[in-house]
Amino acid sequence: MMIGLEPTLTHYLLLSAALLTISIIGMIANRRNMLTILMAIELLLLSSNINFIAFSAFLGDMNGQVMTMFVLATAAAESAIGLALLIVVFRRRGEITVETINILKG
Amino acid sequence: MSFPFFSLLPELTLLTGLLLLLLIPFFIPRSIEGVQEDQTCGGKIAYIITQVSLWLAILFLCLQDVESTRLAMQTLLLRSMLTQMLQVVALAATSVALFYAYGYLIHERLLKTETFILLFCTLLGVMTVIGATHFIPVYLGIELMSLPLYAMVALRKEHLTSAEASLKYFFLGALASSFLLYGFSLIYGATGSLSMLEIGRQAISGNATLLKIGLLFVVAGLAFKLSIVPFHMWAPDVYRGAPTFVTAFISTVSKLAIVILLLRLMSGPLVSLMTYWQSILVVLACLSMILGATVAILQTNIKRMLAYSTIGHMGYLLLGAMTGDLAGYSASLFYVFVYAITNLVAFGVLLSMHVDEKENDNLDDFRGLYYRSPLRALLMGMAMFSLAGIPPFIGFFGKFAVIEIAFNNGFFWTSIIAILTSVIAAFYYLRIVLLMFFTESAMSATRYFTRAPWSMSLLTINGLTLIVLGLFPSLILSRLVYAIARVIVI
Repeated sequence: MMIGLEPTLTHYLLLSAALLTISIIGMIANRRNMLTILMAIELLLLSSNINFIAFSAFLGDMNGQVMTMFVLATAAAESAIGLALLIVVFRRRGEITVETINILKG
Repeated sequence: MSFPFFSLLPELTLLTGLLLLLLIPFFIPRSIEGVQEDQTCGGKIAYIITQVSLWLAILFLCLQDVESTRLAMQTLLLRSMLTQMLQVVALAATSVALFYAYGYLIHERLLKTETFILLFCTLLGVMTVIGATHFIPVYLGIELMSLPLYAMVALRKEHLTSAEASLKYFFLGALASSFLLYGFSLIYGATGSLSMLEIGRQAISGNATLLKIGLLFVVAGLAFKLSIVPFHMWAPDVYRGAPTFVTAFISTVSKLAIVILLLRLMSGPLVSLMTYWQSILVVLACLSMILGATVAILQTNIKRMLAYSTIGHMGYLLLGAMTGDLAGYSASLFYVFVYAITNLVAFGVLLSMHVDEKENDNLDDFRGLYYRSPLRALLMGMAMFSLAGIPPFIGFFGKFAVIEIAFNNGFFWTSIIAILTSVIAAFYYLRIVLLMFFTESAMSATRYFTRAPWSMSLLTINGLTLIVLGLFPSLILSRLVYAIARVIVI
């Protein structure tokens, strides 16, 4: 076994942390298309999935992988709702850029 | 292991109601475009089915034997006196809000089958979260509760504000659920289990760093859902943009479920990190109370103002929770009950203000309300006094309970902040009372309200409970303390 080629638990955790950071930046820094935010949310869910699977394999416990299946199903439902809402806005507006969402002011 | 039919009977009743609702469009064809009267036929049937199955579910809940805490579906769901109380309150609040909203739904053309289908999905989620003791039902329950809510905010498809509000709610809500899930995954890694009962046993020997980071993510996710500062940005926009009926639902029933989840996580699985919990929650509570009290003064829209008021109230609720003992938890739960009952009155009045296709939810619409509709003004006044925490009303005892508990547990400065902010908050609640009773109405007397005698009489009863419970607060409080003392897991 060569050092650096065999992935350990830490590597998986770092990968999921990196995905988490990327998706949060994708949600905050993105100023153009709202579909990108939707993709960032998917990425966010997948980063927790990686955690669950890595821990599950490391601990030898199947529960984590079962959880992953449920998360995948809800992720699909979530993007369905998100796309539906985007369509509602697009029908009224004709565009879905982030900057135009400004009727309600905080 | 047989299927726990009787434990799940309330949920199964709701599920049956949902399936019946799904069948309605097949038997009653949808109206032709442009004919608006027809849509209410299927809608009325759906409304009746909804109310009947809600009350059947409440009946089955009350018939359950809850003297001892039991687990249903192996260890996934909990059945105790406390979960029974919370579920009954959640269902009853929904039913009452539906009674108030009947006229509103007709006016806004929301008396459609899909409104009630979405409502039932959300309610099933709420029921699941209240009883869940395992991360899988917790996560699925939260998603089942949130996803239909995003759609319900956007039910008025022709309103751009509704659509925008729902998009904001969706993006931030999805972020919150993902944070919660990420936190769960780290806690799972540290303890090797997804069951809350098991986690409680493993947490002491588990990896402390992983647990703490996991806790941070979980708190962030829950704070998003409870609209606690600094995760509150969505609340005012969503409250403003959503149909008033949905706003009432978001601000009462969905909060109830998340609060019990927070308390269950604090008291059971992650109790070993109590000092860590406290240091986070103190900051969140103070920020929420201060922001809720100050920013609300600037609002000219009642729904936005009530959103900031919710933010403030969630801060008070944390005061009880962060003490970390049973008395604190029962004070917190008492507070959320009080808050739900009072908010139902406020939103009931708002729902009945609907005239001429307009929501009438600006401060100016309340100007001189007493001279146009004395009953509405009196009820709104009672709700405002109760939210402000003025003695004969129940709101006072809610605030008193949490502040007393926090003070006795050594949170001296936090209690001082709580008292000061409640004085500031009283200003904007009482301003509405002032507007209603002591200013001239800008509107002519020709604007009549729609007549809805039975919903107004129910609203009056609800308003009177604010005083009755204010005179005898132990009616709820002693029962809550009794229920909490009896359960092993909250």
